[in-house]
Amino acid sequence: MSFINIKNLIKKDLALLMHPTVFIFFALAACMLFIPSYPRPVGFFYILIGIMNIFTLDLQYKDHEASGLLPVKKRESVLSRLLTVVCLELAQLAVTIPFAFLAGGLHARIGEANPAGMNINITLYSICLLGYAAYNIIVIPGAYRGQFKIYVRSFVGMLAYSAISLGLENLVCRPQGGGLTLNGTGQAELLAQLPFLAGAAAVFIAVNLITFIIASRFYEGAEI
Amino acid sequence: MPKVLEARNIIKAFPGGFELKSVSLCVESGCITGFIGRNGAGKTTTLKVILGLSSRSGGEVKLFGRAMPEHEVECKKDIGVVFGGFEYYSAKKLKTVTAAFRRFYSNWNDKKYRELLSRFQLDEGKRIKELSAGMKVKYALALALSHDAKLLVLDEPTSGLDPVSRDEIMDIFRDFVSDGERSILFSTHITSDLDKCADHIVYIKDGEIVMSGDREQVTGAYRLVQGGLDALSPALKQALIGIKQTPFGFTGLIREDALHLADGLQTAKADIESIMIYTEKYEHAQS
Repeated sequence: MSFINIKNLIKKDLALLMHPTVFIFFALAACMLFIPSYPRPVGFFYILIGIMNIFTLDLQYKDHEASGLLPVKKRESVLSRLLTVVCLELAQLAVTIPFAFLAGGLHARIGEANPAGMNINITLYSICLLGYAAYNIIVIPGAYRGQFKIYVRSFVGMLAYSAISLGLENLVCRPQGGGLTLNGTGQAELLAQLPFLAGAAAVFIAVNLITFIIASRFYEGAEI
Repeated sequence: MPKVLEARNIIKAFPGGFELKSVSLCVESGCITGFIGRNGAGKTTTLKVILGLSSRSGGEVKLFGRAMPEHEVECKKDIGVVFGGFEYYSAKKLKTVTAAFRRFYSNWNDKKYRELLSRFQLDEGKRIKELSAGMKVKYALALALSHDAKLLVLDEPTSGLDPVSRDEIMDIFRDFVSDGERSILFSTHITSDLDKCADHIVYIKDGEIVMSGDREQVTGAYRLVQGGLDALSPALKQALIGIKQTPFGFTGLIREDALHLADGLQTAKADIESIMIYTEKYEHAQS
């Protein structure tokens, strides 16, 4: 595979298929961290709508046909799209980090834990990574299969994100679910959450690799 | 002349029953090859298989002597493809689309692109959806010609265009192949376009190539015969490929080598359109 082709395909996706609302979703997630009582993973959900827009614009603009005519391998097209999605998800997490510090400090000053769910900490980001991984493996291979049933798959992917993130959040909030450590915001607790983040990152990478393999196989046999 | 494109015995079956039955065609360097057939005859499917957009269950495709899809990337660098008009990225501006596409071609010639925009009177600030059908084809051609494509593959590029625009496109085609090193394969059901510029004709019917060769050869091999019903002998009726009967007489298509059966009858040169019509519409004359 050619690095230059993949870079060019990502640039093409960002220029031609990325809807500007993605930036609103970035800001929305950051702002929602300041809501005193709120299920935190919900703020990170909206970027999935932005990602769905990429695939719907792909359909509307016949991007899969236009890309099929470019001098690139089909696997490069799939990898670049996956990387575009992963970049947006990671960017969503990265953009909120400074706001997480600010919001976390603000909530601590008020002296209020989040009664609607978990606190803003490293575990929250780990859970979002797991939710994103589930969304990707459901949505991306489907986008390269047969009739591109992207709306249904996106809906199922969003449900999977919600189930995983809210399910894990619920677990984290219980003392018997490791809540005292995983839901903490103190320095020692945050350090203790790092292995969980490493594990979530490993799962995220592994699931995306599997996503790439499945999507590539679908696309190799697809009728464009 | 060297062959730019060679497709041999392409087989592809669809669940609905339609299939490409051992389709073979070739495009020679410096030539315009017209790929004709009715709607649904298999023209677009054949082109998609050749370009690797669609899989095949048998046969082989070589572009510039290299096998497809093994050398897909190298081959596609030298090809310009136009499917209909430019129906992609409708809400985007021309300059945005061009900026995204030019990166893929190391031999992109920006000066040539600017010249073509000026020649075709295309405004880069316009959105794709704001272009007329003819302008969309011209934009697609500008993109294809700016990366110095050696082969243009066009699927019904003139459908929906007015006669003046079609004639303009034909001029561009002739200009493109004039150096003898570049070629065009274009599918169409507007056969008058082929009369103007095609060197070779490939005719597909129900997924099968029924005619292929030099345009003059193909048209020269057939004649139109016209006469009264009393002149329609059983032997002549048998020899006619297609026949159209009215209460006043008949018109039929006959092979040049069977013309002796029509002695004394009025005959005329058959053009591509009449060959196609009589082969498709009135083909059951012999049954």
